Amino acid sequence: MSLVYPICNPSRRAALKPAQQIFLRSPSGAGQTQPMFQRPFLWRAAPRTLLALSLWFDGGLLAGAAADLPHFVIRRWQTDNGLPQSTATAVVQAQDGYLWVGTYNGLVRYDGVRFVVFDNNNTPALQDKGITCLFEAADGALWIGHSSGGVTRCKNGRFEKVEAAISWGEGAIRAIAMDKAGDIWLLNDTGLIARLRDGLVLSPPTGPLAGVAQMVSSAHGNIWVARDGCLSQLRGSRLAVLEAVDTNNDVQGVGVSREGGLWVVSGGRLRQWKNGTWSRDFGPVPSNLVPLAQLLETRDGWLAAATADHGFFLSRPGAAGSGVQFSRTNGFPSDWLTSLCEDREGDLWAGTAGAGLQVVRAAKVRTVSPPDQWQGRAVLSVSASGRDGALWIGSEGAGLYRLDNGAWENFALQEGLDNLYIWSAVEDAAGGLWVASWGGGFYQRQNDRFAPAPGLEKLTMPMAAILCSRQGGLWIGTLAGLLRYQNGKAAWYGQEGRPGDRSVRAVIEDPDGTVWFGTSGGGLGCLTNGAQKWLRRKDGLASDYITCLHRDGSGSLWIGTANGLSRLKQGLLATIKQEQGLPSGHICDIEDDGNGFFWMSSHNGIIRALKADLERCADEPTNKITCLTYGLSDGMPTLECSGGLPAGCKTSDGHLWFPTTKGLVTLDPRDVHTNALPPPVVIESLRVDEHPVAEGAAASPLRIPPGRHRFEFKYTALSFAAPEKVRFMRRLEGLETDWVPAGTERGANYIYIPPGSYKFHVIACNNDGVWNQQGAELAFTVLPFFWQTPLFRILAGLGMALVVAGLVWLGMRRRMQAKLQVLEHQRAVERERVRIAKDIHDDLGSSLTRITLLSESARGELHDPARVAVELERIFDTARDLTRAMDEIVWAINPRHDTLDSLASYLHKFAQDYLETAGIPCRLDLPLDLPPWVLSADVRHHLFLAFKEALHNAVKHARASQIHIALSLEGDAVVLVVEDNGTGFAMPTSVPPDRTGANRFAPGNGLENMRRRLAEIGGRCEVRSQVGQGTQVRLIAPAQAPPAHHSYLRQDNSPSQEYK
Amino acid sequence: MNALNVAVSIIEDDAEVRDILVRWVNTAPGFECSGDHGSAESALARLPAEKPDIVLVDINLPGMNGVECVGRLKVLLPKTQFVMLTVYEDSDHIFQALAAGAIGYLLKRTRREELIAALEQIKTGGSPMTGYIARKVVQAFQARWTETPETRSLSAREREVLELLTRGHLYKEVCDILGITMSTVNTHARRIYEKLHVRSRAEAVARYNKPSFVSRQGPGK
Repeated sequence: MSLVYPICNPSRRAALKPAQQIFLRSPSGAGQTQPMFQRPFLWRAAPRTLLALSLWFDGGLLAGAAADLPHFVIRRWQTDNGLPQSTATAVVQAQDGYLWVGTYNGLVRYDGVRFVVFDNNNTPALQDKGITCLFEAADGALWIGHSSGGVTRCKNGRFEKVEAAISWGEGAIRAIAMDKAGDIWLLNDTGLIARLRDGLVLSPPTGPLAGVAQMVSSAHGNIWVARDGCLSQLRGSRLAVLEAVDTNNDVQGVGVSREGGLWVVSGGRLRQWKNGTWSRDFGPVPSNLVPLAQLLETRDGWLAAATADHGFFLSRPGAAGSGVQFSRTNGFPSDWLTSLCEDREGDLWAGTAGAGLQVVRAAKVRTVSPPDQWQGRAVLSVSASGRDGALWIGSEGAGLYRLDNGAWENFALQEGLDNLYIWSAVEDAAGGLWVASWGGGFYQRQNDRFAPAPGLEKLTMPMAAILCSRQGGLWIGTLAGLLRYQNGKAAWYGQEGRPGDRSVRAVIEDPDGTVWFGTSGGGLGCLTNGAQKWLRRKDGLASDYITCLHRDGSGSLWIGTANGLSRLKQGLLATIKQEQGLPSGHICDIEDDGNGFFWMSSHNGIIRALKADLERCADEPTNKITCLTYGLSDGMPTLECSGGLPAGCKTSDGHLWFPTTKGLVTLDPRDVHTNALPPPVVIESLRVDEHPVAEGAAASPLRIPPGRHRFEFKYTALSFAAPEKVRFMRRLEGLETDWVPAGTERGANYIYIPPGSYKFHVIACNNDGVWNQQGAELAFTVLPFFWQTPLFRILAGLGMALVVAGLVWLGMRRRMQAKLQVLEHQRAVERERVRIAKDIHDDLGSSLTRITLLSESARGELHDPARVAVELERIFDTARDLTRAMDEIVWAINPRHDTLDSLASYLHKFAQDYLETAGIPCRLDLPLDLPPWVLSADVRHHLFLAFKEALHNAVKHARASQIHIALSLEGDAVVLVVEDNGTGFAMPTSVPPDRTGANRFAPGNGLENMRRRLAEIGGRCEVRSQVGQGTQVRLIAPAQAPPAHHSYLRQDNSPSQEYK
Repeated sequence: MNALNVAVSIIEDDAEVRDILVRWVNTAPGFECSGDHGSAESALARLPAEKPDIVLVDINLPGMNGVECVGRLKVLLPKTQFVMLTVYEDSDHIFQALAAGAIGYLLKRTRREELIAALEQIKTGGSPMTGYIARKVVQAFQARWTETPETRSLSAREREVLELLTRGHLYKEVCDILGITMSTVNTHARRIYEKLHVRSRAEAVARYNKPSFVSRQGPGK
C-alpha cells in the first residue's frame, strides 16, 4: 500500500472539498472565514484562530485524529504503552519487517503489538542503554550507535559488541553509514567521521550554519556529510566539498534522493543535487532556515522534513500549495523530531523527544466536526438535503447542525428547538424540514426558526424516525407507535400489540405504498392497505430489535438488527450472523455505494461488504463473508456508530456520511486502497516448560528432551497498518491436520505433545485480509523416553507376545495335563471296571454256575439221600467260597479301605482264617501304627492276591509247618514278607526266575502271577529260597502319601466313629 | 418256654435268613428263640421286655444299623450278650460293634453246627477274639484317649493276651504260652471287651459333653 495524502492531491481536491476547507461560521452567520491550508510554506504562521485541539484517546494507544489534521491518523506510543522511554532517538524498519526504535533506555523491537526491550541487562553485548542511532546495512545487519560512543552490531538476532579503536573521545554516535567498500563510517557528536575498520578519523569541512551534523548514505554506498552548513562527499578515505560554493555554506539538511543524487535544503530553498550539479531548484521550503534532523523521501515522492523545534513538514516537491506541518499547534504531540522512517506499508514513523513514537498515516475515514465540536455530544443522524446537498445533522443534546459547503450552522434553543436530542431531521421534497426529538415533540422549520408541527403540538413522546411518504406527508416512528402525518392530521398505526411493538425505530416505504417499520423489541411490522402483519425472530428474523431498513434495487429488504443482518427476499427471511464473518452484530445503517457494495455503520466500525457476498451468505448459512472494516487505524474516532434515522446518507459527490458517538465521519467509497502487502510472519520463540529453547533464528530441527511439556510458541506478523486486524492461522504438523484459526492471538500453547517430529506453521493476513501463505515454520522433534522408542516398543511387544504365548502354552499344557489326567483316571476306572467284571465273571460266575449245576444234579439224586447230602455239601462249600470271594472283591473295591491299616487288618484276618483252616500256625508282625498312606484298590487287590498266592504256595507246595508274615515300610514302599519253613526250592541262577524257576516253584504260574501282579502296580516281588531252607517271598508295593483331602479317610479307631 | 433254655433273640431284616436262624436256634438243645425282629427299631421297643440272654444282631439293618442298635440295647440290657451277624468280615464294622457292646460276631455263611457251637461257647462264658480284632483293640487302647482310670485300662495279663493274639496265636496257643486255662483266656477276652465297651461309652459321653469344636462329630449325633 502506498501512503496517500488526499488532502494535498490536486486531482482529488474536488472530492474532498466539504471536509478539506473548514470554515468557522461566526454567530452572525456572516462569512468571516479563513482557509486552513491556503498559504503553503508559511506554516510557521499557522492559523492561531483555530480552536484548541480535541484529542480522543482510545485505550491509551490512539492519539486520535487531530481536529486540524482530519486526513491523517496519528497513533502514539509512550512509556505507558511499553516504550522504555519517551524519547525515541532513532526508528528503522529492518528487512525482516521489525521496527527497531532506539531510546536512551534501551533498544526496542516492535511488531505492532509487543515492544521487546533489549538493554545491557538482558543483552550484555549492548554496551549501554543509550541508543543514539540505528543503521541497517544491505546485508541485514543492524548497526547500533550508543551515546557512549560504542557500536553494537545485531545480525540474525545475535548482538555483538564492535570493538572500535577510534581516538576521538567519548562522544555519542550520531549516524552510521556504509561506503562502497563495505566499510562502516561513524559520525559523532562533534561532527567528526571515522572509519570503523581502522579508526581513521576525518574532520568534515564546516560552514557558518552551526548545529547541522548529518551523514547520509545512498543504497549504492555514496556517503555525504553535512557539517555546520557545509556539505561534503566521502571519496575513498577523504572528503570532498561539493563544488557549489555559492550555496554550500548554509546547508540545513540533506537527504538521499530515490532517483539518485541528493535532496538538499539550503538557504531556505529545496534543491536536488545530481551528477555533480544542482539539477533542480524547488523554491522556498516551509522549514525556512531551521536545521533539519532528517530529510526523507517517501516512495510516493513526498518529502518529510524533521526538525528539532517545529515538528515535521510533509510536502510534494514542486507542487505548490502542497504541504502540511505536523506540530503541537495542530495536534501533533511534539515539535521535537529525532528521526523519521517510512515503513513498507507507507506509514510514516516519527521518533520524538519526550512524546514517544508516532505513526502518521492517511485516514480512510475522515472526521468532520463543527467548530464547537458538537459540544462534546454524540451525533445521531445525518441526512442530505435533496435540493442543495447540505447536510442536516442531529446530535444527542447539542441540537441540530447544518453543513453546507463547508459552512456550519447550529440550531438550538434560540431557534425554537426546545429539545436538543435530535434523532431525526429530514427535508421533504418541497424543502420543508421536519425534526423529531426524543421527548420534546415534533418540529417543523419555519424560515430560520423551528416550531411544533401543526396538529402535533401536544405530542411529546420520543420520536426516533421520520420518513417522507411518496404519497405526501410523513411517517413518524415514535415510541408509542407509527404515526401517519399529512396536512396537519395524524393517524396512528401499530399501537395495539405488545409494548415492544410500539417502539418504532426505522421506517421504509415501498413504491406500492407498503410501509415496513422496524421496532425495538417487536420485530418488523408491515402495513399494507391498512392491514398489519408482523415478522419476528421466531419467523427467522435475526433479532426483534431492528435498527435500520434498506430496500435494494432487486427488491430485497435488508433488515439491520442489534444481532445480525436479515434479508427478506420474495417473502423469505434469511439471516447473516457474525459467525459467517460479519464483523459486527449491531448494524446501525446500510448504504449502497452503487458499485455493488453495502457500507454499513455498526458498533464495530464501518463495514464494507460486497452485496453479492451478502446474498451468498444469506442463501447458504455455511458460506463465509470477508468484509473490509474501517476502524480506529483508518481514522474512525470511535468504533461505535449511532443509530438515529437516517443514520447515514450519501451526498451527491458520492461520499458517505455516518454519525458516530464521537462525531460525524465521511468516506469516499470509490477511494478504497487495500493493503496488498502480505505481512512477514516470524516465529519469535518457543518456550518449553518456561525455558526458551528457540529465540529468533534457531538451528532446526530442535530436539526437545522427553517428558510432559508445556509448549509456548510466540509468533507475530509484521504489518503495522492495523496490527489489531492481523489474523493468524496455525498448524502443528504431526499433530493437527487442518489449519487452526488463531484469530489475532500472537501465541499458541500446547500442553502435551507426544514424542515425534513436528513442524509448527503460522500464516497471517494483514488488515485487509491478504494472507502470507508461506508464513513461518519451526521444525522440532520431541524425543521419546527410551520406553517410547519404536525399538523398545517392538521389543516390549515381542516380550509381551512371548509372555502371552508362554501363558497360553502353560494354560494349554495344564489343560492337556488335566485332560490327560481325566483320561488317565477314566482309563484307570475302566481298567478297574474291567477287572471287577472279570473277577465277578471268573469267581462268581463260575461258582454260581457250579451251584446251579449241583442243585440240578441233587434234584436228580433225590432217591439217594447220601448222594444228595454230598451234592448239598458241595453247594454249600461253593456258596461259602462265593461269599468269601465277594467279601474280597467288596473289600478291594471299597475306597473306604484304601489305607495301609485296612490292608494290614485284612491280611491279618485272611491269613489267620486261612492258616487256621490249614492248621498251620502263623506269626504276624504287623505294626500297630501305620502311616495314613493311600493304597488304591488296584494296589490292594494285586497285593492281596499275590499275598494269597504266597500263602497258598507255602501251604500247598512247601508244606510248611510255620509261616511268618511281616509288614514293614521301606521308604515309600510297603514290604510284605511271607516266610515259611517249608521245603523250599533251588533258585535259578542264569535264567530269569519268572520263566523257569516259577514253573518249578509253583505249578500253574504262581510265582509268575505274583511278579506280574506286583509289576502291574509298580512294585516287585522278590523270592528267596533254598532247598530245605524254606522260602521267603517279599512283596514290595509302592504307596503314596495321602493328599490333604484324603485325610478324612484316615482310619480312626474310635468306636464312636460309627455313631454317625 | 423252658426256663433252663438260653433265650436267644434275633434281629435280622431278611425274613428268610431270620426264619432259618430261628429254626436253627429252636432246634438246638438248650436254646430257644425268644423273639425275632425285622428292624432295630422294633427290637428296641420289644427286647427290654423280652430280656433274652443272647441276641443275634445283623450289622446291616435298614434304618438304625446294628452297631447303634447294640449300643442302645446294651445300656438297657447289660446282662445280655450281643453277637453280631455279618455277611462280610468288615473289620471296622465288627470292631465298632464290639466297642458298642457286642461280644463277638458270626458270619452268615457259618454252618449250622458252627453257629450252635458259638452259641454254646458264649453260653459258657466264651468270648472269641480273633487276631485282627485284638489288633484293633490294642490300637483303640493306644489311641489318644489319655484319661485311663483303672476301670478302663488293661491289666498286664490282658495286655499279654492281646499281644499274643495280635501276633497270630490262637486261644489254645495262648493257654500254652501263658500257662492258663481256656476259660481264663475267655474271661480275659470278655473283660477286654467290657473295658473296650466302657471306654467307648465314656468317650462317647465325653464327646457329647465337650464343646463341639473338640469333637469331629458334634453333639447330638
